[in-house]
Amino acid sequence: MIRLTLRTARANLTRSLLSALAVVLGVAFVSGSLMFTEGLAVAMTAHATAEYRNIDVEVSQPDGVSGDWPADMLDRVRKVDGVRAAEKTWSLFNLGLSAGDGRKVIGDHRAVNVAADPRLQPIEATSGRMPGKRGEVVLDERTADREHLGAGDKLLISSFGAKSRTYTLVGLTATTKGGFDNTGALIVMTTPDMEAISGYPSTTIIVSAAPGVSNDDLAARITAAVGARALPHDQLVEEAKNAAVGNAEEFRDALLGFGVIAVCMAAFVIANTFTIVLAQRTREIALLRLVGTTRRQVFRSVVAEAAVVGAAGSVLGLAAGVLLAYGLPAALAAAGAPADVRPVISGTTVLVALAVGIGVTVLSALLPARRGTAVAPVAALSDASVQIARPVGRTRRIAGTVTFAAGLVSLAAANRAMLVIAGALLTVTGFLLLSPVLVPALIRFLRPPLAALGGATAALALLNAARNPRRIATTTNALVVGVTLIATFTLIAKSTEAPAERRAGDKMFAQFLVMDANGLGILPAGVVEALRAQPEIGAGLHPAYQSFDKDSGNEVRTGGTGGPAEGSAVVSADLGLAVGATVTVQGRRFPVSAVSPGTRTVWLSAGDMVAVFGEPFLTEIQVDPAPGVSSTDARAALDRALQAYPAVVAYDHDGYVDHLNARLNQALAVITALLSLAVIIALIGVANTLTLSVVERTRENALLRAVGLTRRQLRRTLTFEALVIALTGTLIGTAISMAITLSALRSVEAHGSRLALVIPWDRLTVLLAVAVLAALTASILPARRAVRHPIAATLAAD
Amino acid sequence: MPALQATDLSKLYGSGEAAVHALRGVTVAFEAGRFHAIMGASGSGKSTLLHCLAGLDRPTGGTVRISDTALDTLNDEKLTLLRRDHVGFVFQKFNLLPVLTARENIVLPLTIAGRRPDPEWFDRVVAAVGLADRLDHRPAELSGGQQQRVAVARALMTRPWVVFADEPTGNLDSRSGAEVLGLLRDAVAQLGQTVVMVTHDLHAAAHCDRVVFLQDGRYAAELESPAPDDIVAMLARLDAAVPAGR
Ligand SMILES: Nc1ncnc2c1ncn2[C@@H]1O[C@H](COP(=O)(O)OP(=O)(O)OP(=O)(O)O)[C@@H](O)[C@H]1O
Ligand SMILES: [Mg+2]
Repeated sequence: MIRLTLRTARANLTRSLLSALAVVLGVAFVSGSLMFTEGLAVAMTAHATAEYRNIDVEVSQPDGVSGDWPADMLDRVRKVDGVRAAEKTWSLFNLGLSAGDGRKVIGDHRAVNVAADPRLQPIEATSGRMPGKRGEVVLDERTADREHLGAGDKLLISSFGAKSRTYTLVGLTATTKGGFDNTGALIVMTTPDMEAISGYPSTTIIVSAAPGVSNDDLAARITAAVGARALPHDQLVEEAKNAAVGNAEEFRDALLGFGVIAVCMAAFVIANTFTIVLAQRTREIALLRLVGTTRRQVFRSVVAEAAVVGAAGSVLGLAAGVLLAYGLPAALAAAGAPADVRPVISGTTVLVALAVGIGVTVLSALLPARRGTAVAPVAALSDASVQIARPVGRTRRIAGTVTFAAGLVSLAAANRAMLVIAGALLTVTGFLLLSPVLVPALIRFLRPPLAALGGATAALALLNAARNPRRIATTTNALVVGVTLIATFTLIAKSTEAPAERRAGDKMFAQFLVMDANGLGILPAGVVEALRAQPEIGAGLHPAYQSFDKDSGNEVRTGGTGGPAEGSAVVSADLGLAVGATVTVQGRRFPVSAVSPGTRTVWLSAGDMVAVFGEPFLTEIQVDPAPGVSSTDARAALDRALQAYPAVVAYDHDGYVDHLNARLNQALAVITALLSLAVIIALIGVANTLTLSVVERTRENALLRAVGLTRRQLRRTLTFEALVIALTGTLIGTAISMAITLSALRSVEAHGSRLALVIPWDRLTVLLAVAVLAALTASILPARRAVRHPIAATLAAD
Repeated sequence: MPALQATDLSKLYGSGEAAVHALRGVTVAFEAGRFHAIMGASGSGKSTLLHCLAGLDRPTGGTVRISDTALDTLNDEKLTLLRRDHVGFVFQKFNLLPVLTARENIVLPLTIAGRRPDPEWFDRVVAAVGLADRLDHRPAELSGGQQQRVAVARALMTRPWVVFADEPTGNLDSRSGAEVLGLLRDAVAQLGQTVVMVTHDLHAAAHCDRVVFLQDGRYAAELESPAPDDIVAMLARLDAAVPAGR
C-alpha cells in the first residue's frame, strides 16, 4: 500500500506540487518569522548586555515610587564603603539634532551622558575618542554614516523646546540607540553638558566597585546605606535581557498572527485540492475497492499521501523561510525594526516548521479523504467520469443564512466596537458557509450580460466556473478572506485619516507651517523672534499659542484666520456665554465677539495671549512671505532662521501633506505586504483549481476542439474562467470589507466623531489589477496543457 | 467530383521498435450525397482513417481533400475553422458537453462561430431527430440513444460538407441504434448529406450505399449497396487472408 501511495503521489506530481506550493508559502512565512525574531532576540540581548558594560551596581528609585530622591544622593553613594566611583546618568529624548550647516537629522534621538572616568563608561568609541570636556559629543556610527558626519564636524543639539547649542563631534560608537526604532541617533555627551540641557535631576546612579568587593555585596551595602534600590551587574543584565526577549517575542507573536492567516489559507487550498483530486480518482479508488482493498486501507493511503506532500512542502518551505528571514530585516526596517539582525536557525524552528507543514496538510486532507474514499466498488463499473457535485446540505444552508444574517444585523446596529468585530466575523463566516449557493448564483446572474459581451467563449467559461458549486465556493472563499482583510485595513486607515489634502487645506491658511519635528507640539519661544528678524517673512507671522487659565479651568488658544480681533474673545458654547458678555482670562476681561463649538475653550488673538500669559506655549507658526517676495526666497529665509533650531521644521502645503501621509502609509504598506501573502496563497488556489479542472475536462476540451473551437478560443475560455473566479473573490471581499468599514465608522460616530467612508480607488484598483494579473498568470499553464492534448487520441481514449 | 478524397494516406504511431503502422498508403474516394461505411477488423485502422479524413489528426504521409481543400495546406487555426463550418461529427460516446442543454449542444458550432442558427433549419433538424420536447435537458438527463440523436442533430446543424461518425451505434441497444442509423440515412436521402461512418455492425453497414473494407491499415475492398450476407462473406474472406504472425 505504501508503494502504491508513493506511486500515486509521483504520478500526480503536478497536483501534489500545487498543493505543496501553498504549504511551502505558509511554512516559509512561519519559519522565516521564527528565524528572524530569534535573531532579533539575540541582537537585542547583546545590546542589553552591552548597556551595562563597566557598571557593577546601578542605584535607582524603586519601581513606581517617585519623589524622595535627595539632591546629595550621589555623594551619599560615593561615601559607601567599597564604591570606587559613581556617576549620575540620564537618558534624554525629544531632542533636535542637525549638522553644523543646519541640515536637520529627523528622528527620535536619545542622548546619554558618560562619566569622565573611562572605567565607568558603558559606551566605547570605535573611532576617535569619548567626550572628555564640555562641548564634545560622540554619535552612533549608523547615524554618522547616513548623514555623512565624522570627527571634527560641528553638531547642533537642542532639548525640548529650547534653543540649540553647538557641539563638536569627537568620536563614533558602534552602540546604537537600542529598541525597535532605527531612525533616531544616539548622542553621548559629558555629564556637565547633560546636566545643563536635561532640565531635570537624574534619578539613576551607576557605580563601579573597588577592587576585591563583589557586586552583590556592594549592592546590598548601598541599599542598606542610602535606602534606594541597588541592583548588581548580573541582575541588571538579566532584567534587560528579559525585557529585550519579551519585546522580541511580542514582535514574533504579531508576525505569527499573519503566519496563522497564511497557514489557514494554505489549509483551504489543500483541502480543496484533495477534494478535487479524490473526486477525479473515484474510478481508480472504486477499482481498488473492487479488487479487495478495504476502505480503511484506501483512506490511510490518501492520508499518507498528504503526509508526503506536507513533508516535501515543509522542507521547501524551510529553505524559502531562510531566504525570507534574511529579507525580512530589510523589509521590516520600514516598520521600525532594527536592520542589523542575523537570523537564527534553531532546532525548534525546524521542528515547528515540519509540524506545521505536515500537520496542516494532513488535517486539511482528512475530511476530503473520508468523503473521497467512501466510494462503492460498483462505481468502477459505471461511467464515473462525469462528476456529480454533491449538493449543499440543508444544515449548511440554514447555518449559513442564520450566521450571515446575524452578522449583517450586528454590522447594521454597530454601536460598539465589540459588535462590529463580532458582526464582521459572523458575516464572513456566514458567507463562507453560503458561498456554494451565493457564488454560482452570482455567476449565473452575470452570465447573460457577459455572454452577450464576450460571446461563446465567455458563456462557456462562466458555465464551467460554476459547474461545481462547492469547488468554486472553496476557491473563492480563500480569496474572499484575503481580500477582505487587506481591503478592510485599507478602507479603515484611509477613512479615519481624513484625506491629508483636506486636513492640510483646513489647517494651513498661510503659505508655510512651522512645527516641531518630535511631535510634541511645542516650539521654543525664541523661534518667533528668529523668524521676525528675517525681512522676507518677518511681517507675515501667525503664531499659535496655547495655555491654561488656572482660575477658570479653561483652555486658552489663539484662533486661526477666523479668530477674534485684538481685545475680544471667542468662547466655546458650553461656557454658557452669549455674544456681548465678557469672559475673564487671568484676571483680564474680554468682550465675547462670537460663540463656537468646543469644550471649555476661550480663543484670543496672538497678541492678547502673549500680553495675558507672558510666555504661553508656542505650538506652531504659520508664515506668509512679505508682499513681492517669491516663495523660494521666503523658503530660504525660513531655513536660515531655523538653522539654530534642529527640532523645528517648516512645511509648505505639499510637504505637510507628505508629512501627514508618511507614517500611515508606511504602516499600511507593511500590513498590506504581510497580508498579501494570504492573497497570494489564495491565488495559488485559483491556479490549482483551474489546473485540476483542465485535467478533468480533457475530453470535453477535445470535443470542443473537434467541433471547431480554435486553440486561441480554448485558451481564452480558460483565461476567462480564471478571471471570473479571481474577480468574484476580489469583488465580494471588497464588498464585505466596505460593509465592515461602514459599520466600524458608524460605531465611532456614536462617540461623537463623524467619519465618512473614504474609498481609496487607487488602492482598490491596484488590488483588482493584481487579482486580474494573477488570474491571467494562473491560467497560462493550465491553458497550455489544455491546448496541447491531441484531439483524436483524447477522444479515442477510454 | 468526390466530396472527400484520401490519396496514399499513411499514419505511423511511435518510432523505432515500438512503431505502429496504423495506415499504410490508403487511397480512397467518397462521393457526395451518399452514405459510406468503413469496416474492418479491430485495429485495422478505421478510426485512424476517419480522424485523418476529418482533420482531427494529421497523417504521416499522403493527402486528404475535403471538397476543394487540401487539409495539409491548412494550419491548425484554419483546420479548426473548417471543422467548425464544414464538418459534422458523431462519436461513439462523450459527444456532448455536460454543462450545456441539448439545445445549446446542438447549436454549439454556430455559437462558437458567433452565428445565429437559422430557426427554420433548426426546427427541421430537431423535428427530424425527434427531440423537440427534450431541448432544455442536460445530457445527464437524457438516455444514451437520445444523446446520440442530439449529436446527430449537432452534426447536421451547420449543413456540413461531410458528416463523420465513428461507431455511432456502438453503445446503443438495437432499437436506439436503428433510430440513429435511420436519421443518418434520412440525412443522406432527404437532405443530400454526405456521411462517412465507421461500424462493426452488419445491419448498420447494410443501410449504406457503399462499404469500404480496410485490412491491416490498407484499403482491401469495397461493395456497393451490399446485403448483410455479402458483407459477412467479404469479412470472412479478409479474415482468412490475414497474414501469418498477426
Ligand atoms: N495514439 C496511438 N498511439 C499508438 N498506437 C495507436 C494509437 N491509436 C491507434 N493506434 C494503433 O493503430 C492501429 C489502428 O488503430 P485504430 O484505432 O484506427 O483501429 P480501429 O480499426 O478503429 O479499431 P477498433 O475497431 O477496435 O476501433 C492499432 O494497432 C492501434 O493499436
Ligand atoms: Mg475504432
